[in-house]
Amino acid sequence: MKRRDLLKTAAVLPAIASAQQNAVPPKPTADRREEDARLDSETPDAVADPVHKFFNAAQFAVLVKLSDAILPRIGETPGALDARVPEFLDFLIGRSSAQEQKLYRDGLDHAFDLSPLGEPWTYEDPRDPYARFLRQAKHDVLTAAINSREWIAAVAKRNPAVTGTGTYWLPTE
Amino acid sequence: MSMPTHDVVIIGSGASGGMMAWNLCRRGIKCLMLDAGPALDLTRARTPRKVYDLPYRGFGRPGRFPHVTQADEFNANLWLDEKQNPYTTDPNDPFYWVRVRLVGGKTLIWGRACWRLSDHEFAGRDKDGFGENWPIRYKDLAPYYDKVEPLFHVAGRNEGFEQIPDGNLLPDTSADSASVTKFIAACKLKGVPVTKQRRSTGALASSVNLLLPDALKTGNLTIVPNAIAREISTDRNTGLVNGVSFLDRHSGREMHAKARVVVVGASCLESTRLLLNSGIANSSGVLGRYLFDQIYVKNVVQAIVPDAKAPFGGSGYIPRFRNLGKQTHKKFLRGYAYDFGSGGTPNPKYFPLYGGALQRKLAQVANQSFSMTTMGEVLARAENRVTIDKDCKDAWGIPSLRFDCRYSDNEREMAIDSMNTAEEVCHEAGFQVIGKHAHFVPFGESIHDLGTCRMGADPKTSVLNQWNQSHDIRNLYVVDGSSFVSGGAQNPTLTILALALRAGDHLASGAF
Repeated sequence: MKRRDLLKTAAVLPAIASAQQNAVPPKPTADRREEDARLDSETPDAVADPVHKFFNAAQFAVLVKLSDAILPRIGETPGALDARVPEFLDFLIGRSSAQEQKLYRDGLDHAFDLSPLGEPWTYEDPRDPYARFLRQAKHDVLTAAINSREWIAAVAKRNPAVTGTGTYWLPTE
Repeated sequence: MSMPTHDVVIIGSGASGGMMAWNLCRRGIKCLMLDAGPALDLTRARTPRKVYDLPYRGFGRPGRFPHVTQADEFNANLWLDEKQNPYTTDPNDPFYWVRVRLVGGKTLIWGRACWRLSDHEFAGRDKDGFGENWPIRYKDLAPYYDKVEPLFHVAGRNEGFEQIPDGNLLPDTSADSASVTKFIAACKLKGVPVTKQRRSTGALASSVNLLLPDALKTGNLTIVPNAIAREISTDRNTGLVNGVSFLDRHSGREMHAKARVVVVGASCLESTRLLLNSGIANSSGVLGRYLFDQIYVKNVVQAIVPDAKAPFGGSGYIPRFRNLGKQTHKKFLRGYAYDFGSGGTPNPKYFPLYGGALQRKLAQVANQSFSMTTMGEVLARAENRVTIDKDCKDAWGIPSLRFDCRYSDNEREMAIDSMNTAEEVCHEAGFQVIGKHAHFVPFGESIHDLGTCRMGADPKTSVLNQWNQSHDIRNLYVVDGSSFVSGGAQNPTLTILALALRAGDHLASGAF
């Protein structure tokens, strides 16, 4: 600790101590109940932009292109980019297993080619890692998009059954 | 001064433990119930949330539940933590051990399907020579099914099918949708039986609202949550059990409760684990053996109904139809059932499309989905077993299980036959099959784990007698799915409830 900081601390400490010694319980200025302490708040997504940090710039650019191709904006319905899917997947894959991360990184480094998505569905994953990556990316992009605030808000306008609401089980002690 | 001896200590509060308490307490027997998990106030334990406000946008925290495919980001806190509660398997033969540790157990989240077993299960050996018969027959359990169904508000339709006997049901007189009507007609042409779902109804259909409140009202039930049973203690002189040692979930503090009778209903594999860790009730050597469940081939067939009409939706059930009569299927023993459902949009994965073309296709097939899931009998085999792995302990230092189990060609052939039959019926109905496969989920994933502490007439080849009472120790009962000898394709909870009710009657009649 620098000497200046030490002085600051020393100057502050006695002040607190004396304040405590002389503390008088404050008189309530208004009749404020616990209910009044329920404050409105916002989520980070409502006020800030996600910072992507897992994929490199080239990989992220491909992820943007791929996401847009899998789910473009169609009329009034937001697409993957409106739903900030690439930024979300950068976060999700950054937290996923090494195996999943490799699938994505190798897939995004691969020459861009969506033709494997035209192969008929089989239960088994494709043998080719790039085809496997595209299959996974299709699932992830669509899920991240349809679970987004933007997509749900747009679809709810024509289908009120879509609310995005589920029953969340709180953690137990 | 020490605490008095309890009449009965019940370990577990789910379907079987809850039913035991419901029965015994109403007969004036004092019960202490231990559950390893907390008792939730359901009005506070759950809250509505938006999927986009969840930290992982509905994907869930990666890697949190490698073996619980049912876990999603909404219900993640419901499932038992796998890191605190590890177990071991052969790396080539995984087992998905899905557990819930809460008062009420898995009845808080079960699928609610309620099918009776029949003598095709109870006397299965008589029909095809495989395995072992149960020590009871359908007629022995029928009166208990009759009582359990109204208690759980089971609704369905009685059809007179021998393989899923009629029940004491709330009648389901709802009309079938156009898609389902078409499918039923195709089933009839193919000689495949079909009926409505048979389910426990109501906002909540759990031990915590249907069983435990009535037991508590008598004043004879004491529930202690967060009590992890470690060992059942025995009296060296008599060989009888005399209590339960348990650990406080939060502090790990060990306690011992004395009991005249111990009832174990901790879930199939936790019950067997507790008996193995206690070193009791295993003179037969079969404790831990004959583990089975049911194979599930999820969406064995995915189809679309090209001319689906509103009202959309509707579902149903196809009970087992293979190997019932004299004509037997060459490639496998026993049989399988299906759940089917219609309406909604098929998963986008089935369409080899992306972008605008995919979205146009999905709009076109909206409400046209039709899918079937196979549920098949798994043969009870001695070599499919659990043992104690002394080197694998849970967060409380209690040794956990090692699983050695694998499916056989019988299950594989059954899955293939179910795929082909499902496709045939769909074609007959004029549905377009867009996906089919015969890959069942890993052992355990269906959460229908059964056996390992089976009943039987012969104490040399079974752990329990026909009353769910230990052959070796007369004041020890094991009342959950571990007691099953075979399981058919029917969801097991209704039978667990009926067996527990029957075992309780026996216990109360003065057997202790």
